[in-house]
Amino acid sequence: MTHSPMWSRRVVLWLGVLTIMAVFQLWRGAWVDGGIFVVLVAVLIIDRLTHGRIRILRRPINPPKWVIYAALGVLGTVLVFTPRAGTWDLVALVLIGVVVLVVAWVPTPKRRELPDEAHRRSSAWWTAFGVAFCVWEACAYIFSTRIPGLEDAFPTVSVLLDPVLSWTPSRAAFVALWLWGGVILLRIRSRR
Amino acid sequence: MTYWITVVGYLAIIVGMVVTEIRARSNPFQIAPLEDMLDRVMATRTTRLGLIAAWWWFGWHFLFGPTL
Repeated sequence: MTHSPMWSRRVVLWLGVLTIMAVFQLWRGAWVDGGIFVVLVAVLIIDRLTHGRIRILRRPINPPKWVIYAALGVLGTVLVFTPRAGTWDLVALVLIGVVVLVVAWVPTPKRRELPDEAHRRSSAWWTAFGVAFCVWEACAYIFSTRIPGLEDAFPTVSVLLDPVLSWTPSRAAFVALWLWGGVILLRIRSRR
Repeated sequence: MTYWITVVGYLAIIVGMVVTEIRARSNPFQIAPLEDMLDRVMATRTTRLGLIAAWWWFGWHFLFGPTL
């Protein structure tokens, strides 16, 4: 269990970011995407209100690495070689979502300690990049959908990646990078 | 013209990310590398699940969601 203040600034800011994501997705008519973020915000608020006492598992899941990488191989194969946005993709993505939610519920050990100032600089830079990317993408979306005749003048990331994801080799590269990102975030590499 | 300005904007941000990470890895006591920074940020369940959910949604959005 995490012994952090119930409503620390970091927690409130993150809930704010996720709420903005939910509102933006609902506003643009992506009901499923918006719904996912609404449910997530609700779960996290309930978790905070109950002081982090919600327990999904009695003990952390810690399978051998070969099991994790075999599962990633199977799921990656499904995501690359079955028809895009088909039933198998849906099954694989929901499965990944449920598993990462369970795995991420408990913390993983820290790697090393660096000076606070180094962390502050890093957080500032990455926050700036994240905000800049979201604002740029949101502006492209708004301009391309709200200004008549400029549908193709301001491409969103989705529009740019669409042809990439339609070609199997580049789709495989995208899936591999995405799964690798998840492995890093969940710190699976540092596990057994 | 605006098409390429938009694309260059995305690329500039990505290049900035890469340069920052290279700089951080060469001098981690000046700027914490991404992995170390995420380690600290993900200490609380809210931020951990928020980041993981954002990662998952990224895959969901591009691999399954319709392009709007």
